[in-house]
Amino acid sequence: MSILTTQNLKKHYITESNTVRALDGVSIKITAGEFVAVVGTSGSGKSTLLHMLGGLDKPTEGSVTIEGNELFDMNENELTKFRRRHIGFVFQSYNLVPILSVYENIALPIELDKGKPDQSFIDELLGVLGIADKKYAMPNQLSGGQQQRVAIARALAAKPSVILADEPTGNLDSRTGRDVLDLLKSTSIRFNQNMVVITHNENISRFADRVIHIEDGKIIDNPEGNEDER
Amino acid sequence: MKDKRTSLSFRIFRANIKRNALIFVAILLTTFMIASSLSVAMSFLATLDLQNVQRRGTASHVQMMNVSERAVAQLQDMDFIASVGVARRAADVVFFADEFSMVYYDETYWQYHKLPALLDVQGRLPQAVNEIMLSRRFLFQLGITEPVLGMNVTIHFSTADGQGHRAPFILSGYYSSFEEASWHEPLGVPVSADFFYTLGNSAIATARAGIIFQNDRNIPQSISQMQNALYRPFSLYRPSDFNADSPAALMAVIAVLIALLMVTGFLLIYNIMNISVANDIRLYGLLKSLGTTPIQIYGIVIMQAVILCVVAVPLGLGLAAVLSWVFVPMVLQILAVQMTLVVSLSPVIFIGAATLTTVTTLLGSLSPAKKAARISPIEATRYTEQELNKKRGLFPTRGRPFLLALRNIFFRNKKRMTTVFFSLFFSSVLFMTVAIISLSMDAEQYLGGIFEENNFSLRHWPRGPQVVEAVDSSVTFNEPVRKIDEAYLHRLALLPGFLSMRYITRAGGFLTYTDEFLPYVRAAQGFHRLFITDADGTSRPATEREHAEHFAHMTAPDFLRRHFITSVYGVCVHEVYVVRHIFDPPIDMDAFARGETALFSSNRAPHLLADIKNIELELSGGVFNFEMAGVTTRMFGDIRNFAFGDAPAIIVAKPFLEAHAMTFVYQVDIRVNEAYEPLALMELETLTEHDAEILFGARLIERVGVQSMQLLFWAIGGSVAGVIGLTGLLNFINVMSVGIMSRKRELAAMESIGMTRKQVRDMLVFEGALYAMVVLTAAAVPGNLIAINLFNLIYNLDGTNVFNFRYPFILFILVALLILAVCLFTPLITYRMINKSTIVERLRE
Repeated sequence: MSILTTQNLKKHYITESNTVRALDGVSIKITAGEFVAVVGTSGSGKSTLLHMLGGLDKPTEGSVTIEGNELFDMNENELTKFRRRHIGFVFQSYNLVPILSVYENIALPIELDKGKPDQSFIDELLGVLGIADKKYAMPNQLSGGQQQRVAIARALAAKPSVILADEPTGNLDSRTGRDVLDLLKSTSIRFNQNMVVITHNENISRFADRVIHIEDGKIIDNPEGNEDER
Repeated sequence: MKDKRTSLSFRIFRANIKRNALIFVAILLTTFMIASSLSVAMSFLATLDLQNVQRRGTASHVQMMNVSERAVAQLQDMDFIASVGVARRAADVVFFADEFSMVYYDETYWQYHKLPALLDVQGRLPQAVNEIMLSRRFLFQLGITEPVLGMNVTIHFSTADGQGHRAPFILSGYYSSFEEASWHEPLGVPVSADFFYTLGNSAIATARAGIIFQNDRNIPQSISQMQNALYRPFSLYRPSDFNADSPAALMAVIAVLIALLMVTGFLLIYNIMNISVANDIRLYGLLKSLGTTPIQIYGIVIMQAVILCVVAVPLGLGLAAVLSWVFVPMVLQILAVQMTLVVSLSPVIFIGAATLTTVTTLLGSLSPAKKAARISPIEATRYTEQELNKKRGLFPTRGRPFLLALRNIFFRNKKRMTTVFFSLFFSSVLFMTVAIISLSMDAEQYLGGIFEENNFSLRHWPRGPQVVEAVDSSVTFNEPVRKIDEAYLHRLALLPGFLSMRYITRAGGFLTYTDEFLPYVRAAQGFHRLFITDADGTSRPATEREHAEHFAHMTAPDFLRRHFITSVYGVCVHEVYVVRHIFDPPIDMDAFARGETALFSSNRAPHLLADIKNIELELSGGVFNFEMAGVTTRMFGDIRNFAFGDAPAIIVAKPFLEAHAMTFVYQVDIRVNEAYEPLALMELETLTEHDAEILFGARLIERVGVQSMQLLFWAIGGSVAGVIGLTGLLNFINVMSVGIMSRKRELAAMESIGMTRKQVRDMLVFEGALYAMVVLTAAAVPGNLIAINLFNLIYNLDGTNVFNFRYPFILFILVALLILAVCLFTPLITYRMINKSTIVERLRE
């Protein structure tokens, strides 16, 4: 069963001299429990694709459907609410809220939705991610790797349909990066989460169930083959 | 490297246009306000100097009394003395309210000692024996309001031999003078050398040398140098300065004002620089990693402040210089009315303001520069502005915008929050103080104290001989000139819109002195100003003992028994009836009407008269005994004893006084319909313009005076409060908007994880509202207390009865609404501005 589907997704930027096709008709399908890596060089359109998948940016053409909900049929407010319930983000630069503690950062998306955070689940996440002792620390007391783990925990806490990670290891050294990827992989299995990881690092493929290659805004290699839907 | 650093400073400078504009405004305003404050202070000092010369009537540093020709020659030889002039007293003018003596001034005295103290001098110094030069004050007392050179004036004067003379003189010149007579020296009336020498032996002939030293910085030292050179004792008089206390009080106010301006300027500049450095911190980290030393980075930041100073300070000074010509005279007009005003453009003002502002700016940039210099390249990449690293004191946020706002305000950057808070708090307190003082200036209460419910008040000031004279043990009552007679009163009753009129009569009286009066007389004499010149020539107020010794002959019972002359006033029985209950016991009105009861009137030491229950008073119609019902101070107009001596004035029933004394109408108070006030004023001006003895006051004119003073106070206080208020609000707007701008990515991240725009907006608006709430609460409670106490301080210093406490509720509500609006709209507008870009764009920044 597909959790996330894109159909002929296009994002064009019109400049004075020409039209930049950041995404040029991307159609992919991600099924339940899948760990997908989208790999491409710098400027290939992978980040644009991730932003579209998360509803952070609007496409010029095409659609994104998550669990049967067409993202761009929603208004700004509905989309934000949908995001906090169904999508988890992990950014390259962590983007933690500096005035909130580790726990508060993790609980924030749930609390913004006026929900009650599942304490035991958060504790479990902290344990799995190896930062249980940092529950009440402030972000500036943590190392980069620890901050990224908090970001992963925050993405997982609301038990979203899909987790989108944008170069999650980009700011980390190779060893910490590997650890973080290990964690992403293991948590996706443990909590049966769908995970889309954007990276320019080919080595990441060994963590992924599937690797989609993107170049010049087009999918050039998609092992599961969605070509029939193109 | 230095060039590169300067160029980097310029580049960073150019990249921060909004910050520069804010700091520029802050420096400009600070310079302008400090320069204006200094200009007021310096101009006031210069004015005070000139006015002191004018009031002393001489520019001499010291005067040597009873000086001989030989001593003058010796003084002229001393190289540390710049000028020696001689004034020779020829005769004393008689029959004048003020004491005048006819003086022959030599050329030096006239040019260098006398002229600087005079204003608007017409004509020349007398040359011929029958020429005289008079002050406008003297001419006015002669009844001459429009003097003409060459006109004839008759002067009564007495010579050393005790002979009285009456001689015609030709007016060779006239001038305005603010000289105040001192106990040792009457006011001078210039006469010619010929006149002086013609008098021969009958000339009073005391000569006085006016001395101006080369160095006016240390006059006591020059005096002792002079003393040593002369080898013999001499009597020195050092003209004392007036208003010795007021410069100190004014200087203190100016110092506080400048300090406040510097503090608010500092807070604003510090905050802006701090935020700017925080925003550029990665750049500074990068520079450091490329090998820039901390001192060089320090220099880059300071250089930016210097560039702003170089542009903004001269502009602020220019603005202040231009406005000095308009603004300063207006302020001085209030501080020192009547006399010549000096606008100081002393370099001290400009150097002082430039230095103080530059110091403020540099101090404001110092700590941010230090921060930029100290940051390590690694720290810079991880730098977040929040200081929070302890969980202590944290309250749960539960994703609620209000709680998140609270956390942002109190835990993100306490220092910044504190500076903004104080900046806003100072300005609100200052604003409130100015508002309370201005609003509490009650023109009507002030006018009520002078006019009661009347619109005009006419007074007859007789210039002729005293109505009562006491020589040895005999008392002479002179027939007074009755300027305001039945016909005059009838004319007043025909004034447009006339409603009612009351008048007070006056007569001369001779009070029988008893020892009961002694404490009062002593206290009343305490009001005479006496200055003592010490051996070193310095002048100081007399001690209690010296004062008592000086006035000893005037407090001797024998002297008092012969000189206890007073002014007796007749007021309507009805007017006393209205106020009878103020007295304890209430006045027996029948006894008052019959002339058996009277009142004392004195504002010198009224409490010392309270126990005197009976008096004996001689009037031209006989000797009468009165039972005293009490003492009035400011009732029924300006009632006091105008006769020589220190006896208190007496108030009796008008019909009684008219029956038993030679009275004249002293004061008429007139009430007219307000609509006719201007017309009545014009008629009264026409009626009285040719009579120097009839003076009148009009509520309409006084009201304009008080109102313009009030308006001016508003203009000055309002502009100071406005500038400080603007600085406070600018600080808030800057901190809030830059704070939101710098959290652009953080806010985008919050939106990306599911915080709706409304939630973000609510959080930011709550932050603004919290600032407003804290500031307004602080302004409402401690702020009000400070403002009210400052008002009380001024209220207690004031002697004019012009203040009537009023709390400007509506104004404060408006200001509170303004603060609230700024605090709410600043985050809203800033958020709207950053929201123009998409979440992705903001996340990428």
